[in-house]
Amino acid sequence: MNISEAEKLGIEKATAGALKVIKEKADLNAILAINEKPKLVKGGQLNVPYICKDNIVTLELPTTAASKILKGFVSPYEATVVGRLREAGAVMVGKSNLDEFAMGSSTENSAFGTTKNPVDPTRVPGGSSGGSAAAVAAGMAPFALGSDTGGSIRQPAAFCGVVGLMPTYGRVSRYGLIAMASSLDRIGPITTTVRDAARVLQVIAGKDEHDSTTVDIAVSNYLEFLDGDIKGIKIGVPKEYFGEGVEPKVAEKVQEAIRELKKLGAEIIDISLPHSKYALATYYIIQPAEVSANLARYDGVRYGLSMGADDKVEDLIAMYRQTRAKGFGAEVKRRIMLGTYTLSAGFRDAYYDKAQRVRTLIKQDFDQAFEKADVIISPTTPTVAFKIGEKANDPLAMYKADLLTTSASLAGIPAISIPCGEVEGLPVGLQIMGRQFDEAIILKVADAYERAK
Amino acid sequence: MAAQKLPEEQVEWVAKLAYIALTEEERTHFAGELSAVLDYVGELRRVDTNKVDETMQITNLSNVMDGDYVKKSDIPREEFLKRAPASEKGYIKVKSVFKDRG
Repeated sequence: MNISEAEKLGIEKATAGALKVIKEKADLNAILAINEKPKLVKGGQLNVPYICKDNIVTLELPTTAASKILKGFVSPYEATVVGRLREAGAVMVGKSNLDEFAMGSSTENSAFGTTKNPVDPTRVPGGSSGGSAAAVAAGMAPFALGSDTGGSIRQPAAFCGVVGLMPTYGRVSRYGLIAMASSLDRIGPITTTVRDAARVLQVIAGKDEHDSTTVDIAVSNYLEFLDGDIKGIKIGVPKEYFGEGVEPKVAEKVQEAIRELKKLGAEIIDISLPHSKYALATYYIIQPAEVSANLARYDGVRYGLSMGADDKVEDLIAMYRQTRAKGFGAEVKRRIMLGTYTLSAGFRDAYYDKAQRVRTLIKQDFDQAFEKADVIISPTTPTVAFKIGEKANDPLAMYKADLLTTSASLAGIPAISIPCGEVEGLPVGLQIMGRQFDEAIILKVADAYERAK
Repeated sequence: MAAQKLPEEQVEWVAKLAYIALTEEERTHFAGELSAVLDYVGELRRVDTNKVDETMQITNLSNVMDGDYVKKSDIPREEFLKRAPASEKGYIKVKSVFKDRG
């Protein structure tokens, strides 16, 4: 169901309907907490039910980040985006499952069980916003909020056959988003149509005094850019995104979409993003480093799981060590340790410092490409949704699911993933990237493609 | 280039810095996994980065400051105390920071 269909039902029926589907499809394990009796308002530009990823703090329901260390934790404040959505009439009906602390590409790292892909329940929905993507794909709500650090909105949207928009870094306030990697994290919508993604972005975007990394650039009227044609728009196709590491059938589906866009009048330009092959490595140095700093706060002192009362725990340091040992899952521990290592004395220059410089090269690749092209297109993911358990024992193989999404994350640019067909019954996502703060044009191209399909 | 396995003492040292207690089994297991990832990300040493600076901030923002003023907390004290694992007389209670001397 899309937003406009939900609006036609009216908020009471739409909310009741959402709760019904959430309960009927409980076996997908997409939802961690349900708001059984949400406060309803009538009116507003987004007067429909929605689902919120459980790493975004809310007052009405607990926020766990899918971790034992925050089990049962109810935040004393709510995220800016949640407040803005409420003011627009949106009603939060549930919190969705994710990889623990947003670390993962399959939702298998959740401390509360994995979410199943509604298209094929033996497969993963992607991650880390797997619960949000699965919920929207399964019809639980017309939209959900997700977060994206290295691909966590786009990749699950691609795997579940829905639309996922990652706005420019600084476009949407991160206040109330449980921090993973502060220079990369973004909040964005997951919807069934491009128009709906534009409508949600309209409400959540904008400078926020609580988030000093939000930028004081006016929020466009995104809907104005839809329903048009794309004649003359220059679409850059980077060769590095269609070769090694990408399943040929997935690449071919995206090439089909590009041919479709050409028929719609766009000009297709071959471009190169030569440092693409270093994006994943760059990301897996910078992100865990920032993670190691951001997760230091989970120490059993002020909130959450604490081993402090345990008599076997002798002192403060032991309390920290035991609390974190018990509260964090394996992937979280892995990334904290990776980050601690690469930031430590003697290694910082070789790893973190180096990665920050390669990040500059990656950004420069995009700056140069955007001199020739208006948008850049690629497959969102190298494969379609993989089977549950398939990559669970090989962290590095799991990281490679982010192969095509991490460059846009590092460059701070916006990107949207939209469905562009199937391979053996499984959805394929088309990724459209734009210049910083140019969400309008990626929405325009995505919308034109969606209407033509 | 085969991954040189991280010595377990190094894994233990990193875990200590990160305040995470590891079991012996975890130490061995993580040593292998961390080595594989470090090996992969170590490829960046091949990239020529002599002509560029680090990206400190991707949106060119600088000196975004807030005014220096006092205001009442948005969150009342009781809300913090309610969520603390232990509290006493209006304070959050923790294990002693300073060890007894003498």
